[in-house]
Amino acid sequence: MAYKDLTVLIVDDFVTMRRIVRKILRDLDFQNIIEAEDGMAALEVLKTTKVDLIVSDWNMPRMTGLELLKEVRGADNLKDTPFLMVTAEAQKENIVEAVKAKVSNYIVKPFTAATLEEKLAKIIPR
Amino acid sequence: MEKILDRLVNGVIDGPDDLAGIGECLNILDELEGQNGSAGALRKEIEKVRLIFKRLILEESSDPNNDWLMIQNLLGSLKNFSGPGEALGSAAAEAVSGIEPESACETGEEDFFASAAIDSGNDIFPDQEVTESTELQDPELLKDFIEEAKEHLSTIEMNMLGLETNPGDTEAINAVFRPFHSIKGVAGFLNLSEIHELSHEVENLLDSARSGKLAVTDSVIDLVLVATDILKGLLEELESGQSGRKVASPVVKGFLEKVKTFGGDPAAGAGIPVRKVGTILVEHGVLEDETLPDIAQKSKVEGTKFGEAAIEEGMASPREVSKALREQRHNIETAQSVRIDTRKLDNLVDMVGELVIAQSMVLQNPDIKKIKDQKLQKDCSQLNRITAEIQRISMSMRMVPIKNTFQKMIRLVRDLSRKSGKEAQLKMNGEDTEIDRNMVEEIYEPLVHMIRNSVDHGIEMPEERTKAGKDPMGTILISAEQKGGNIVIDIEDDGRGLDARKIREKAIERGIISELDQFDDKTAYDLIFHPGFSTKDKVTEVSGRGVGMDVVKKCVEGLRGKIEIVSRPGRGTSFHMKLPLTMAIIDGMIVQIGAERYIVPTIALKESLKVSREAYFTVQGKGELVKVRDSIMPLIRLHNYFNEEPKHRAPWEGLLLVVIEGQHSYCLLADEIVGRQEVVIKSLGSLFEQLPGISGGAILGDGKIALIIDVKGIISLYEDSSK
Repeated sequence: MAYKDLTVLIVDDFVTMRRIVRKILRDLDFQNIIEAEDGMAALEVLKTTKVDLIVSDWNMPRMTGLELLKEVRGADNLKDTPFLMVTAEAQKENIVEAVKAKVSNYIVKPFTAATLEEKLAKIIPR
Repeated sequence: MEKILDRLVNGVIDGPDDLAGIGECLNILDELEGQNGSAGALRKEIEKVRLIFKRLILEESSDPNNDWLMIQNLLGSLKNFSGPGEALGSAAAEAVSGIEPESACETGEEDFFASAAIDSGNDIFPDQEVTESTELQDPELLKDFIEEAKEHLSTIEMNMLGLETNPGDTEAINAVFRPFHSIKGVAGFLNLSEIHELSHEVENLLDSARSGKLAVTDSVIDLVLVATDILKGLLEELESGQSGRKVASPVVKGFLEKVKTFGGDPAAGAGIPVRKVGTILVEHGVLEDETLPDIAQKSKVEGTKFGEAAIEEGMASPREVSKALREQRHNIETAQSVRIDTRKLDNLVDMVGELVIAQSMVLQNPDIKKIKDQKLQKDCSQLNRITAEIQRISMSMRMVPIKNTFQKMIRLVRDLSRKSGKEAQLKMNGEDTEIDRNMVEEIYEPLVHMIRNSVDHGIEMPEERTKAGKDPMGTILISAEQKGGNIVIDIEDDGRGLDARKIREKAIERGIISELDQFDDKTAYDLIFHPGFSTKDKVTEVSGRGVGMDVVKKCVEGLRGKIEIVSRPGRGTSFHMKLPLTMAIIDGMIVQIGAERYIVPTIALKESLKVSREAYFTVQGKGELVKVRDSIMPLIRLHNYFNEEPKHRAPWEGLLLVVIEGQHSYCLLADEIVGRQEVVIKSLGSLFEQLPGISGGAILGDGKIALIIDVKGIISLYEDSSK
């Protein structure tokens, strides 16, 4: 499927960061982009909307990216959703935890559209 | 175990890129290890696989393909461990030697990993990372980032101050850590290297605090607060478009040096107190205070959360723990929100005001009123309800809790008391009281002035307080409360109180009053609001109050509010501020003067009354006076100022409005009171802005316009003309 037909959910508590990720996704021709401000909000969205890709920050109030990932992987209807974790260089070590929780892949910020595309190629069947 | 091994070898992983597969595999390894905890050789093998996996995951492998081969071999060799116990030893050795030729060199490999781990733990990669993304040059984005970052910085401040009282509160550390982390993240994208680096260092510092490696001491808090200030400065520079070079480099560099030399002392973190959940559970009567350390110890040993440990020990039920957790989370949780341009909001509120007026114009139209249709009447009251609700909601959209403003004061008190060698704390009450966001900015300055005064002049030095039998730690209580259409803010200190005698002396010395003037103490206190009363240094010498208090008064009055002082010598002083909830609407008394109606803000009114003929008299040189009970006050004929032909010229026929300005009361003469109503204030436009005696206009229920009387302005017109 072409990127433009996929629905992406961006999860980040920082508005500016969501906008940056949105912009980069747009550069990659994604058209349907939804935002959520933390894991809880993301789960709300996921209840009602079919999402083809989740791009989530790790560090968020209320529900972290890892907790969200576990919720997603634990839900029958969501467990196969590609999940890309956004992390910072300093927190990269923690990624092993996310990998154990079946994250599809991760990306270290700041990243470029090219890096993102590379990562997406690994996790979205085209 | 056989089964587990089968699952492993049967290939859960597609290749070195398949993170999900690797994850699955790691989980299986955990399981395997859990079952064969004591088998040393097996454990060693598993550890080896883990190391390589980690290397692959973190993309730190120098040769992924070789690593992939090694993994396959190692997993295959695990199959050889078929029985428990030490018998495995030889099989393990065999397996290891079996792969040795293929892997480059085992010891070298481990060294490589060790150093890689250290690198990624401590090193910063800003240069390389930042240069990677450059195409994000969006001014709009930058602007919003500045805005958002500032907002987050203010939460950092308040959480930091919370940490000061409760240094072990990991959730609070997290709440401070998170914004730095987010700011750093965005700064990386936007190429703001200084902000990036600074927040990165602070993040590191907080990370060690979070993991318990560093105790949150006063100096850590100071450091973070300084960082917050520098960041704010950097953001402001960015905002003003000065490309961030002026303050930036030297300050940031100096600060970074400081952070880096701030070594984490591992021993210092040992005394982190029990999590708040425990405290909450004690408060709920679920746990005993004495049991907390045991549970904490258990949760530490087993790596579980405190609540989980308490449940496992059978000391609390899951329901009780979740209740405590909810309570703990309660303060952090924020409602979901949308950002809206405030101009849009203001317009909305304006238009809703118009809607309410338009509705009453329609409903009060005589022709409509004549219609005696029940359905219409029902529909009208329905419409009324809906518009009232819309008005309420739209007003509430502009309301924000006063909390943020109050919380900034904590920092102020802290800084001021530190500087002056005093001990003072700020307590607050009613910080959830909501206030028009336009007002928030306006009351900030006056609050700062008053608190500064309380700390500088009210609170005594610790020794002095101890001598007076008080707690050496002074307390300033700041509280807010909604009363009717007003918000009442009190600032109360338990310091030495005002000295009426000294104030009087001072006022005489400054020529504000003459020695013959007789005041009670309360009136004397009000003298400190007099513009000529004091300058900062002079007041400090006589240890009075008065730093810019005239400014405070002016501000409060500009907001159509009132301020009062109550003071008890030796016990403290309190400022009592009464402000309208919003600047867009006032509670007004509508009075008739001649053919027109005018609005007098109720906040300015003390009372309204009718007097007998005997109460009115004239005195040579003083003009017309009215005696209300025991006090005599000048009479101001409002119709003279608005050029109206009044219904009643005789004061005992008309209505008198008693107002207070400064130390004096005045009587305003109007014809009659028409009613009391909340009105939406409309500016009269720049042409009439400076019109003395008028502060604005409003549209009344029947669609006619009424002018809002500026009481203070009228009085000064009166005073000028009678001189």
